[in-house]
Amino acid sequence: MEEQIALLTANLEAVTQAAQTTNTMFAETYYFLSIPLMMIIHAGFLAYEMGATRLKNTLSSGIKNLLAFAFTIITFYFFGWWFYWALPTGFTGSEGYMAISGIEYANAIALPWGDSAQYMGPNIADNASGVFWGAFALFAATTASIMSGALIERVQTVGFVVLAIVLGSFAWVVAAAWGWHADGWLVTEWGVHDFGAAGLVHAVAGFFALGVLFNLGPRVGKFNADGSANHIAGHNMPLTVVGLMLIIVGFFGFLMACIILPGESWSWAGTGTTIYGTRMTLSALAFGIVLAVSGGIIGAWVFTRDPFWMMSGALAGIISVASGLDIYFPSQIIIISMIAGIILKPCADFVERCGIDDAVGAVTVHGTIGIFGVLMLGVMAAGYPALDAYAPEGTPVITFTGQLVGSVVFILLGIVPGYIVSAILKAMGMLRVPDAVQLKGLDVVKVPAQAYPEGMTSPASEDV
Amino acid sequence: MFGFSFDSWADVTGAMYIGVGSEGTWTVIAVVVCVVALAMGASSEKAHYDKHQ
Repeated sequence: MEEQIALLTANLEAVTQAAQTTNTMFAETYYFLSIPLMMIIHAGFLAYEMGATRLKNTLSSGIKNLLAFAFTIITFYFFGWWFYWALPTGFTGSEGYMAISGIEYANAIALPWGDSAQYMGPNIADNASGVFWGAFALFAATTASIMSGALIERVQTVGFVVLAIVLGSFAWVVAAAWGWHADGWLVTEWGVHDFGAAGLVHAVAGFFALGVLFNLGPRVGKFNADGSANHIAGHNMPLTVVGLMLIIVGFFGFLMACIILPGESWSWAGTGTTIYGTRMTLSALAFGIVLAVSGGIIGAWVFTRDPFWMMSGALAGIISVASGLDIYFPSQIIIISMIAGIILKPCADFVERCGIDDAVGAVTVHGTIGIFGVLMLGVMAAGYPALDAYAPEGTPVITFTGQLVGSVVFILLGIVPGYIVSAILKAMGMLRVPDAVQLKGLDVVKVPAQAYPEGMTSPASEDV
Repeated sequence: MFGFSFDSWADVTGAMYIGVGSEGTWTVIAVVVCVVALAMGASSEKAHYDKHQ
């Protein structure tokens, strides 16, 4: 009898260990696969922005996107990841309630040197740090790329890279630390809830772009002497529209990476949760994302009939409900995303009437709609817990006031650094491409390749 | 800091580091390379604009 019990105990232990290994490998694989899915966002940005550019600037637009991605990823490794863990409680860098924040904690896990380096490279005993870092690095690169489209055809390449680094490896990271971390002061003191990062990614990036646009100025020929605007069409609308669809595809990876999986030492309680420890499922995302895309397309179609704005509406649809994709009922998502699609074009027109040349409507799609989404959750989900598992006593619930405070902070974290850094670059002569070069075309001046060396007309078929 | 040599993968149970020097040394070199690349890019870009003004 005792032998049988010992055997059963050993078997149980072996099964338990095997189950834990499977769980760990699943969690690692889950986040790992979110990374190439998010790479699709960048394939989308590349196609979208090159298509939205005039023929003479096609390749220089693409180069800008490639470098924004590369430098943001690398600088996020050098210091961006550290900021996320160091700053949740504010610029003091003190430790928060959950004891997973503060400068001391960040020094221990997020620096690529010293003892901390064990979490920043190959480690047989660590299946989590690399995939979490990778997913966050792609969040960072995505945020930096959002700004990119607004500045096309007149921003200098290196100046733009500096802006991308500041946005992708600092500005949005501060917003994430404050509003997307269980110790973030916006969460613990104001109950801010932004599951899919409508505010802390999209709004920060959109308003950062606006801050830059104030200093960068419009493309040559965009505005007439009387202040009226000219439409500057890109050279390839199909490429632009397909690029936008690729961004949508990539956002499935972005949003799945916002879920904290169960059963690991770093997991919250429950079966699956948000970064705030509130419970949710992938099924909620399945309902929400595709309905939001559809609502946004229809909303934009109502007034524009334009495929560019319809696909921008799809993106706006997702952004408008991103804050509450974990808790919205699907029919609410249809309504909110449709409203986002409807107000998109009028909001973009307003920006243009203010004399701002936002070449692809990034300020509106990401900035305005991002804030709209954060505020809508304050209306729709007031009273719902903002932070759940292990929340300290007295943690506020979601309120409109809390979401409003979060919105103001996200706007400031975008527009202030965007304006200041671009002003410095302008003073250094590193921001705007000279007008003569803009007229000639950026590709012919600085790119040693041709976008379409054989022209756009294919030879007639002889097989008739 | 935890660089080591070993004869079998069975000896590897935690963090791995290979190479001469510390991880910090390699990180500093990587930072310098990135800064130099940016500086060279800025210089080249300015030269191209100056030629066409």
